[in-house]
Amino acid sequence: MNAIEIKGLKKTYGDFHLGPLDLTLPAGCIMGLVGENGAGKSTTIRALLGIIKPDAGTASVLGAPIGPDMRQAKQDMGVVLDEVGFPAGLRAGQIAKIMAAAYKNWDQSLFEKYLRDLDIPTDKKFSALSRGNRMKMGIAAALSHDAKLLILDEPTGGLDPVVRDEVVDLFSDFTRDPGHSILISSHIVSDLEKLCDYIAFLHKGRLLLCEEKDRLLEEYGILQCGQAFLDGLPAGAALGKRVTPYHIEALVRRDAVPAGTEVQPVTIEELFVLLVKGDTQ
Amino acid sequence: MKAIWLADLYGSRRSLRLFTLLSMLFMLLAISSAATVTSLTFALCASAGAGMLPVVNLEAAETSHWDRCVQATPCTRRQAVSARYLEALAIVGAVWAYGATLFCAKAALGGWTWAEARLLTAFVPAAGLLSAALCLAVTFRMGWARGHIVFGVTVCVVGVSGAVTSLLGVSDAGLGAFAGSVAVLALPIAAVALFTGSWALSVRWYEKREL
Repeated sequence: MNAIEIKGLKKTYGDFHLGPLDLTLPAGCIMGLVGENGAGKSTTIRALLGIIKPDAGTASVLGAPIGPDMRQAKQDMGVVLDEVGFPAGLRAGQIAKIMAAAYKNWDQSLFEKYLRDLDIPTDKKFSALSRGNRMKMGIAAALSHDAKLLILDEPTGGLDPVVRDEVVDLFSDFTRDPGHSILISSHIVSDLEKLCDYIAFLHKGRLLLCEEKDRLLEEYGILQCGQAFLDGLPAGAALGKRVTPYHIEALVRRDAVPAGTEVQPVTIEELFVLLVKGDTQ
Repeated sequence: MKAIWLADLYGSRRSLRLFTLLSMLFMLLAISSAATVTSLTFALCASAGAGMLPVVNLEAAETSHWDRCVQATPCTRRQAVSARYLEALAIVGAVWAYGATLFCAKAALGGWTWAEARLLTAFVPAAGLLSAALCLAVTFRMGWARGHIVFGVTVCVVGVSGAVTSLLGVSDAGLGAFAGSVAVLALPIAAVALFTGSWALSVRWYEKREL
């Protein structure tokens, strides 16, 4: 079974158009949604949770079509939104009681363990916590009710690099269970590179690419060359370029450049930046 | 639904204390007033004010993004609406029980006729349910950003209701005649019907609204 299936999803807000979007997250996998601010990552996630209604298309989460009756599926979902929205005046103990009332499988001792491990102050009101600590509180709550799917919208935003690393490790631990899946959006691409099996690139509401991460790294590379060499490549070989004072760095398909050409490995971050530049150019 | 109640209860402790104190104060003013019209005005303020507590909870949920967070949990939108309407029923019911006890006590001690006590007892839940029905429906339909305008207008109307009754020429004698009629029993029934209708509309509107 697929953890998430999206077919032809569309949503329009004024000048912004999302989709049509087709995505599939197989069960047991981690998919990273990469995109600049305003690319449509949060809109996609909100549509999956039923917070907003798509204009067209269908989607299902853990086998349940998105809509008003997703109660059972949501029992099995742990969600962290970009704005973790617990009521302002509540402390950790009260948040735990609310979550225990919402989720059948709430594990109080596990939540307390995450509070300790992530060093979240339990005596402060939620509104008095820093953005990083609020995010950590949201992550602790999402991981404490035996979820099968995590949907995370910019969960590492506002965290310092050390805590970000800890949190990424927590997500990795979560997916040790073969039935557990994660959909995570971020523009901190290095986090996704560590974590994800699949990467989906969103740019201005359009899906530029969705592939297995390892295949992306195998298929694409960076070619340093001059403009004349680049012009001689077959159409579609170069997907984007960055011009430096010394040479051109082009994102190329390895199978489309002449044999013997030295193509350097690409990181997911470079891939994303050059794809977006290529799209803009 | 329990999760939403708990969040509202924890989050609104301060407002709950304030609303309870104000309601008690207004009810005491109601029974200590000489004219029935003045008593009625104070009793309406107590009840209508109490009916707006769930609207304050809804505002807090929207400003802290708790309303979105709830949609990520297994709680449905129907439950989010129903929880606030049940909160309104509970607090208006509590104010009504408190007020009715005071009115009956005053009537038993000879301060009022039983018809006057019945009139106030009928008006109190009606005012509370109507203010909640109006403000909740508008807020669920349009969000707090616009809903607070209706909230403000309702607060003003309740606040100046004494002046309104004077302007309308409502007198103790007129109220006495009304209190003796069967129409007084129709008031709370009509309020409950409107409250139920408001709940149904709010469910429909909130299920369609984008958060």
